Parts: sequence; C-alpha cells; structure tokens
Amino acid sequence: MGERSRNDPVNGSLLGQGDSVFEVEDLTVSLQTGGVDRTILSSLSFTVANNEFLSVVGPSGTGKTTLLRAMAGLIPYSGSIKFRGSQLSGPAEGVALVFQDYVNSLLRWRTVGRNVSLGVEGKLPRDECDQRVTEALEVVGLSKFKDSYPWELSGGMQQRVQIARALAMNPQVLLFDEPFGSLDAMTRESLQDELLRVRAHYQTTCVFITHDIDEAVYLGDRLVLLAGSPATIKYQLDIPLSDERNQINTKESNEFLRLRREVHGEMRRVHGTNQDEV
Amino acid sequence: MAQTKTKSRFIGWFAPIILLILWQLSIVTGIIRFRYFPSPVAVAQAFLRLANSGRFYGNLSHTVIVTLVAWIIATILGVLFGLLIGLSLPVWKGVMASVDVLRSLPIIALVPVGVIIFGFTLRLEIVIATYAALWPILVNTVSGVRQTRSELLDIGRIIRMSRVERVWKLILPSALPLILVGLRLGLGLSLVLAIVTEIVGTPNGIGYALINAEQALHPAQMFVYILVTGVIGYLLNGLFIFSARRILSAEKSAEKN
Ligand SMILES: Nc1ncnc2c1ncn2[C@@H]1O[C@H](COP(=O)(O)OP(=O)(O)O)[C@@H](O)[C@H]1O
Ligand SMILES: [Mg+2]
Repeated sequence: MGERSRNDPVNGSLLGQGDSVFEVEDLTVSLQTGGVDRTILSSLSFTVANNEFLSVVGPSGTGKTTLLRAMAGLIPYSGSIKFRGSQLSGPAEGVALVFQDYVNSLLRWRTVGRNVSLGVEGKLPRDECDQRVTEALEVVGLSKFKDSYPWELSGGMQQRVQIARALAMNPQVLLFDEPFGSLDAMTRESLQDELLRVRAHYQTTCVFITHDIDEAVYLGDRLVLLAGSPATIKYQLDIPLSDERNQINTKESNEFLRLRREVHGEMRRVHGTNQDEV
Repeated sequence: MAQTKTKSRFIGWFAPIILLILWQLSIVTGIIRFRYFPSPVAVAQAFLRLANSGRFYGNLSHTVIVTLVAWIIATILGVLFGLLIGLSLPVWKGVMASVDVLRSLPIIALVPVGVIIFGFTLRLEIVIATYAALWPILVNTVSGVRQTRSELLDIGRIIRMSRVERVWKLILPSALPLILVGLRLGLGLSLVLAIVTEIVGTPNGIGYALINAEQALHPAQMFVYILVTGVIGYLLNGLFIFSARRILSAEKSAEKN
C-alpha cells in the first residue's frame, strides 16, 4: 500500500487506518451464454484498503469487467462481497463507475455540466449540486466546457467528463473499467497523471482495470493479476513507488522497471505468451 | 455555399415546370387526346373556382383535422405501448410476433372490415387512420427503447435512479431519434388512410371531393384535389420536421441554463 493511504486525513478518520473498503471472499460469478451457465470468475479473494489504488490486470476476455460489475452491485454473485462491512446486494451508495466507452456512457442530449450533475441532481439542494459540478469540472480541467455537448469534445475530454460525473457524486470508491483503453498514447499519459492528481484531491479509493501493465504499475499502490478460464487471482504485488510519480522519472526508475518486468514475467507464465498488450 | 443552394433550388423547380409546359403543349397541339385529361391551365382555372367556394375549405380542413387527430391518438398509444413492450423482456417476447403479423397486414384490406363495423362515419376514418399510424410509431419506439446502451442502463442503476427516472432521463431521450422517425412515417400513413376511407365512402374530406369530381365528370377538379393532397402531405411533413427541430433545440437551450 502506498504512502497516500497512511496520511489520509479525511477517510482515514472515518474508517480507521488500513480498514478495508471492499472485502471480497470466495467470489464466484457465473453468466449465461446461449442458455448455458458459464463460470467466469472462480473463488476470488482479495481486499481493497481504504484510499488504496488497486490495479487489476489480465488478458482480455478473462473477466475483469465482470469482476467490476460484480463489485458495482450490477450482477448476482456467489461468495461474499462486503462493501464498508456490509454484504453487497445491489448498487451501493458511494461507489461510482467509469466505463471505457465514453461515447455511449455520456448523455449526448445533455451538456457537459448536466452530464456531470446526473448523479447528484435531485439528491442534493440545487446550489450544492451546482457546486459539486463546478468543482468536479475544475478538477478535470473542463470548466470552460460546461455548456458544450459531449460530442463537441475530443475523446480524452469526453473521458474526463465521465470521470467528473463520477467525482461529483463524491464516491468513496471509483471503479474504472479500462478507462483509457481507447485513447491515443499521449492523451492516455496525460489522463493518467490527471487521475493521480484528481485522486489526491478527492482522496478516493480506486479499483482500476487495465490490460496495460505499464499503466497498472504506474498508477497502482497494489496490483492483482487475473487470468485463466474461469479466472482466478494468479498473483498480487505491492507497488512501493513514491507518491510523486511522473511519466518520465517514474517510468525510467529502476524500481518501476523491475516491477513491470516482474509483472510481465508473471503474465507470460500464467498466459503462456508474451503479453505486452493483451 | 449560398449560391449552390439557390442553384439546387432552381434545378429542383426546373423539372416540374418543364413538365407542366410539355403537358400543356401536348394537349394544345393534340398529341395527347383523352377525353377527360385536362390541361394544366384548365386545372389552374378549376383551382381558382374551387378556392372561392366554402366547400373546398371544409373538405380540406376535415381531412387535415382527421389526419392530425388520428396521428395524435396513434402517438399516445404507440409510444405508451412501445415503452411497455420495449421495457419488459417477457412482454416483448410475448407480443412481438403478433405485432409483426398485425403490422404486415395491408391496412387497405382492413378498410372494408372497418366499414362493416363502423359504417361510413367519422369514427371509421379516425380508427383506420390511427391504426395505420400506430404501427410505425409503436415499432420504432420498441426498437428505440431496446437499443438503449447498456452503459446508460448500468449508470442509471449505479446512480440508483427510480424506474420512472430511468425511463424519463435515459431511455426516452435515447429512443427519441427513432421515435421521431416513427412519428414522421405515421403522419404520412394517417393522411393516406384518411383519404382512402373518404374515397371509399365517408361523406367528407378531400377524398370524398375527389370522388365527387370524378362522378360529376370534372377531371380538372380531380387534379386539383390530387395536387392539394400532395401539398398537404408536403406541408405536414415540413411542419413536423420544423417542430422536431424546435423540440430538439429547445431541449438543448433548456439544458444551457
Ligand atoms: N452479460 C454476459 N453474459 C454472458 N457472458 C458474458 C457477459 N459478459 C461477458 N461475458 C463473458 O464473460 C467473459 C469475460 O468477459 P469480460 O468480463 O468482459 O472480460 P474482460 O473485461 O476481462 O475482457 C467473456 O468470455 C465474455 O464472453
Ligand atoms: Mg472488459
């Protein structure tokens, strides 16, 4: 676990140091494909600590999205998922989700501002709602685009709108499903840094799914490798990089290179091929 | 830009005008010689005569009103049942086969059935026109609803919207473009079927006037009514597109404040 969680003044006092936000035990998920029940996830156990950034990597088609949907309370599961100590039985207050497909996740008929307010409108007094929206847009650097429509923005900006929408809900946990997977390399790197900044601002626990090992190591405090059919956790790794990360120094540091080599090695071992981009 | 637009407008008018001139010439020169085929000039004269009679406007407004009333009823029923069917998988599975059969029946074939049930009444006209407009609206609403992206539905659940909120904020706006297509098709059909029932026997409206002109051996008048039908269709369609744009942009500007 990284430094951040230990010095957390906000959520730390709420839950106590090192308390788990998610406790997943013996999680098994089966889905119907063509009338046949298929086990996608088999007996996963892990925890997500308060204010932790957990990266989940694995080859595509393994069941990463399925895991995230289970944690979001969107699909039935067997085993146990505890969120803040109580068994999850549907979408829980305090959990927000960011999808890879930003185009279809935003409401094209709403402005950026009204997209961001979706999760809070009607739940909070009007001025508080406006304040949340303003703050979230500011944090992702989109204040000027409040009245634009999503389709008027670039892909990277649209993904920031989606992140702002999640942030405006002031969630305790943000679940990301390959959020930068369809962006170009440059945009992707700047959004990675932005995410680290945003997260420091809001002190949010993050579960971040990606198939990009570099991204997983660069962002995470800890990493979980999912593989196999049905998927199981093959490997877990602490990422003891400092909190002050940046694209050049961090990615060229020996520690980073050692970690990514180790994850690549594990991936190759469990998957049988060289998995740079899976 | 502006020039190209004017140009294409000009070309758009060019063809019909040439056609009219050829039509007139071929009758004047005697190339075409049907007993009851009027020249454009005769049609224009008939139009002026009709335009000065009150009956003309009565028939015109009758057809337009029937068309609109039927279309509005069809819209309410179509969107409502479309939502119902589109939102529930069991309902969808249960009724879609019947919907497909019903909407494939040629509506014209149902007109005689309607006549037996309702007689040549206003009710017949509205029922037939409503029935015609109902299917495209219903079917498009169903597919619009069912095409709502799974991401949006997930978001609705994560935000913990009520069912009504989900329909109102996510599903209906997603489906709106397809619903509008259905509404437009429905409007055209409701006009056509209103006129058909008038031709068959409802004693009112453009279709009725057309048949009267035929029986009175007034071909020029017949052509006037045919052209009027075209103009009504064109105007209703234009009006619809205009209001659809207004609705969409009103939605946008409402969002802005
Ligand atoms: N709704 C669903 N119903 C049935 N099978 C599904 C569903 N969603 C995903 N799957 C299957 O589950 C497996 C894992 O999918 P997914 O979780 O999307 O993998 P990943 O996100 O790691 O690429 C895939 O084989 C996929 O075909
Ligand atoms: Mg996935």
